[in-house]
Amino acid sequence: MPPLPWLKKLPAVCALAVGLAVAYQDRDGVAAAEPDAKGIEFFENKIRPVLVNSCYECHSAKSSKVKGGLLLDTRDGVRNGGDTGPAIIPGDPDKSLLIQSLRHDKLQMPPKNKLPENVIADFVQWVKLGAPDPRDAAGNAAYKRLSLEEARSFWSFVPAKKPEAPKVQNASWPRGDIDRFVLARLEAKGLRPVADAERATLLRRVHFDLLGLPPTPEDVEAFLKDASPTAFEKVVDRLLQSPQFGERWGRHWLDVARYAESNGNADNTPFPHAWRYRDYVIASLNRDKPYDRFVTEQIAGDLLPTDNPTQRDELLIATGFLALTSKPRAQNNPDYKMDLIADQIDVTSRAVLGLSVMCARCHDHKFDPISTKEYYSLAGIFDSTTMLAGGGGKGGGNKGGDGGGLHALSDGGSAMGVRDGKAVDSAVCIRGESTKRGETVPRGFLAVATVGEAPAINRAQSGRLELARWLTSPQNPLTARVAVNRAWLHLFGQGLVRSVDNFGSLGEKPSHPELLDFLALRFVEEGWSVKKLIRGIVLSRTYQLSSSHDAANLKADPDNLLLWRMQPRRLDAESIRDAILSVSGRLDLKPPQGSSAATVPAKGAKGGNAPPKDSGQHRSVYLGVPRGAPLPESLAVFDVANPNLSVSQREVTTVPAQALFLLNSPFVMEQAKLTAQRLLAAPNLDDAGRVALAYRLAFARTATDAERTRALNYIAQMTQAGRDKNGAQNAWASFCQALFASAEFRYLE
Amino acid sequence: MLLPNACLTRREVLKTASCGFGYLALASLCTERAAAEYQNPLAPKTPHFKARAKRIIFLSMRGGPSHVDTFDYKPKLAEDAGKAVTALSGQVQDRNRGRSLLPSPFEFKRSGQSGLPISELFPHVGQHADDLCLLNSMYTDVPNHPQSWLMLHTGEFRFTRPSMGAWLLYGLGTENQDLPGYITISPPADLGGAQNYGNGFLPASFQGTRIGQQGTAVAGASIGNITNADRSGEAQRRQIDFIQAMNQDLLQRKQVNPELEGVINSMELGFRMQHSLPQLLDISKESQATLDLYGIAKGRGAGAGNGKNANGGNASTDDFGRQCLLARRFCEAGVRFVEVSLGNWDTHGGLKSRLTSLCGQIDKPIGGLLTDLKQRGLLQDTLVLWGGEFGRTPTGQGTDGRDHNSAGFSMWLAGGGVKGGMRYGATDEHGSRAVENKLHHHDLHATLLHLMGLDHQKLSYRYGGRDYTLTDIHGRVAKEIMA
Repeated sequence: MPPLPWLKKLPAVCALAVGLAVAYQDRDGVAAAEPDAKGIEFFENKIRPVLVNSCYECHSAKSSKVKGGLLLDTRDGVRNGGDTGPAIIPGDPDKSLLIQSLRHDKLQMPPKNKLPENVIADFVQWVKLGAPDPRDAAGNAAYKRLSLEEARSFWSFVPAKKPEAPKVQNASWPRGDIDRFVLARLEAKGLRPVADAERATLLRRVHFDLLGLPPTPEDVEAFLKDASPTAFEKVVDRLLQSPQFGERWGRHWLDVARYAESNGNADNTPFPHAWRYRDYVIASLNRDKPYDRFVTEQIAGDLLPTDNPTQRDELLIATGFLALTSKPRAQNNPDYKMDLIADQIDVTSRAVLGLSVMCARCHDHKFDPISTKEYYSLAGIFDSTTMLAGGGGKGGGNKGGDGGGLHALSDGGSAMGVRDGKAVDSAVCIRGESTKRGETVPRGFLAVATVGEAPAINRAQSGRLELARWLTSPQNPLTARVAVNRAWLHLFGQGLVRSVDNFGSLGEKPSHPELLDFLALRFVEEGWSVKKLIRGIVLSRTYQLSSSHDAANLKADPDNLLLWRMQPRRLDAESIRDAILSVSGRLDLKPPQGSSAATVPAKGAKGGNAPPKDSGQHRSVYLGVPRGAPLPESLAVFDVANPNLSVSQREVTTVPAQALFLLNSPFVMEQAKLTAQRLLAAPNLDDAGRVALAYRLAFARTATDAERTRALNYIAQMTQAGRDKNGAQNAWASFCQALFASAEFRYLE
Repeated sequence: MLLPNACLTRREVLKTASCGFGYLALASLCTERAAAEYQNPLAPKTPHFKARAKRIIFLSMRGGPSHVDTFDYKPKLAEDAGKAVTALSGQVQDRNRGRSLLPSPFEFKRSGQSGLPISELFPHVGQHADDLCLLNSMYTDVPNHPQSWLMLHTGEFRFTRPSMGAWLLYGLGTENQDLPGYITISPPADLGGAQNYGNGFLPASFQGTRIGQQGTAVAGASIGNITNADRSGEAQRRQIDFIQAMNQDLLQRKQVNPELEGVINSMELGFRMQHSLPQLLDISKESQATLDLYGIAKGRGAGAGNGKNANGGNASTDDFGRQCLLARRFCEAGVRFVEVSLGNWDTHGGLKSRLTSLCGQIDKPIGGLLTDLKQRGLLQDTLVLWGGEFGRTPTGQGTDGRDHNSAGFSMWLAGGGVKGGMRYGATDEHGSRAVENKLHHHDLHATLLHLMGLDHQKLSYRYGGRDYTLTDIHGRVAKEIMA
């Protein structure tokens, strides 16, 4: 995660400014033939006044409702046209829609009063002249759209090529190819990586990164004692085998999958079976299910062959990915079904391809070569699919694509998901409006992300199986790159491509393009194994660098793009809560059955604004995730993902509400008290020993003498101040709470 | 775009950021300094252009208040009683269809110098007619509560988007760091719930802080974790000192670490907020005259938040009076956006008695609020907005009710750089739909941002590869209403 939320905005501004520069340059080039003065004069005298008086009411940026998507107040608006195509063909009045409309041929514009013949003649003359038009269009031309041709050489749409690991000067530093790629770039800039992290620091780092939990004092002791060269490797292998691994890495995917247990928005119908999908994701990560298979199951599990009921259940549950929508209300919403489909297309394209395709629902994508037709070729696949989101609820939830049912499982339970419906192709919705249909497009995929032949769709089925094959083809230039970049993000706090869910033309270029390709290719070669991918990365020396400061490096590369150190990171919400429970000794690692949010009250019902109950013993990933109602406070306050949205990278904010939570919340107070009891009950320890144990539990390190003295003084003072028989326990609780509230507790070095 | 002075402070850099592209240049020139300083995301920022208002109080009326009975005087409605409306609006659902016009059971009175026609239901608000800018041409897309309530608050009902208060906080920061910058009092739990004051894809620091909930008296309401039952203030100060000593140690070890400075800073802010917020919620030190002004019941002098009150008094104006007084106190203390709320205006039946009751609950408090703001010199830069998600049909639903109407309704603005004594826009002769200077919810948003000094097309945030704005591709600023 970036050090501060505002830093993430830098790229946005950056892209905008760069985009502007590009656009202007481009226009200077393209618009070399400046319209001559006479042409401009003609426009100003004869054309502009008519446009202003007769057309702008419905066709300008200032219209209260722009009609037909047509803007006539800029040159680009006239030339690009609206829903029905370009308004003019310069030089060819008869083929220009604007002229035809003025003549009241096909369309009749202005609608009621035909303009006088001499005015129409002026327009004809103007178009014959090449439609000279001096009007600037800065507002509309800030970005340049990538053409499909240009995309063929755009980094993310080009198939990954196996790069040679570069030669480095300091040949003894790298432990493998990852390090060579990183070091080569540092050396090229004259930078040197900082020292390796201290071992205890590294252990704490890898425990939180892989499990979301702190190491126990015993873990620390064992690791520090193990002098063998494979000591760290052994730790990593142990962690990857732990069931807590899937809980940690499954949660990353649940963020992307906008996992939630109610539909949010207007009615907020509960999803009492959603937790099965959550458990499916966790189990898949734990079993190291190949990523291509993992994606395929979620898109088309119901269409995959199987011969045993348990696997059948698993495959049906997987399709919950497409049904966990925060669905809009059906009532009075003619676009309801298309809204559901938009959510399915959005979550699929964003999660797997790192592309935002949804723009193309209403117009061709402004920046990437994704056309509206292609959008509806994807939409057809989901239009041929029935969503099983359960219930239906009031407000007419059973309309359109929501079948209202559920998958029946072999154990008698139910699961959300999808199944094939009637196979149909979708017609383009003009400007996204379902009531205005254009041409029907055959189901298919995005040309920009297709290398070679796309799979042919079995017309009798929805096409989801082929969609999954297309997404997970080793040929797909995006899927593996996006996946390895997400893993990198969760291990370094920032992706090699910083814009983790935008690999399109507005996204950022990778900081280490060869390294990205290297990882992506190796990922596919190693059978799309997420565990092998993570193992490879954390065993690199780059991952094991210290987070220490270096003035020269900071000056040259303040954002640490070149990875000269490990970026210090704040723990995410789940890790903070789980660490507190772990220190207090209350954490029960056994997963609970079902979910506390399975019975989240519907909107407006009594208790509808209360977060789901937190029993204060299970891991955070198992806490209920309602939409529209507050999330569990311990998570909400530390920037947990908003379950209404597909979230690739969480925000990191630092606000007083966090301090208030740590200082005053019943949860933290209770856990501090329990931690105090744990310390006081520890056998054979004096107070100094208790402080030392507290430091090992909370920070996975030994307290310094000064720290121990300060802590003992504090406890003595507070005991005295307490003046009652619980004085000592309260003082220790206050001390333990202070540890929880300290910066060190929630930061990873 | 490029600023000549290369070395500015972080504060200045971020000020520039909200203005345009200068940030890029500055960020690259000053990255070292920038990376080394903590930036509070809520620090005040300079608007895009000179602001007419510094803060907003939104008096939100859940359920769709009837405009033809309150702020949209339609004499023709009485003349044409029993007839059908002249033209249907063409909305998704025009609920005037097949029904006949129902005159308002209430009289309208010419009020103030301007002679604005205001329903007899609002004698106190009417006294401020010369400060009111009636927006008589509001319209929105869907005549259904959940969609339109979300549209009103976030500019979108199909997808989760940041609320307008979150956008304002993102664009302007807040002036008092000891308080939340965006507070919503007694919001409804339904109709999208927390989404209506949520941050959407904006950072969480921009979300609204909720106090109380609709349906529960605001007296006694507070925010979570603001007090500590177990530790005295002194014990807690010692604890914080101990925590800060640990944090300072860490800072020494790390040398440069803006996040750590942020943690240290926010700990102090949190500590101060524990004092400032309950103090603001405690209205017991307000004079009796002030309490009377807002219609806060006698014998309930102790205020919201200290847990000692709620001992009798049941004046109908008490709860909303408290909400309004709290809003004034928050604004005075530098909170950027305060929303207070009252429902339920969904008068399908019992129109006459329910409107009498609802208006009775808010008229005196709102009149009191406007008077108080004016007395304190706050009205000139505080924008007060009144209204609901849509209005109601001029035709009757039965003989004493009106149905939903999103094709035309009214809201009003006061203070904060808008013209007073003005009717802006108009519905047709019966009030069934907006026909003149139409103002969509999007246009309202664009206008509010403009009054606050923000360009609704420029205030954008990148999410998932696209720059989003509050108004999306819509929004027209109603410049005609600016004073």
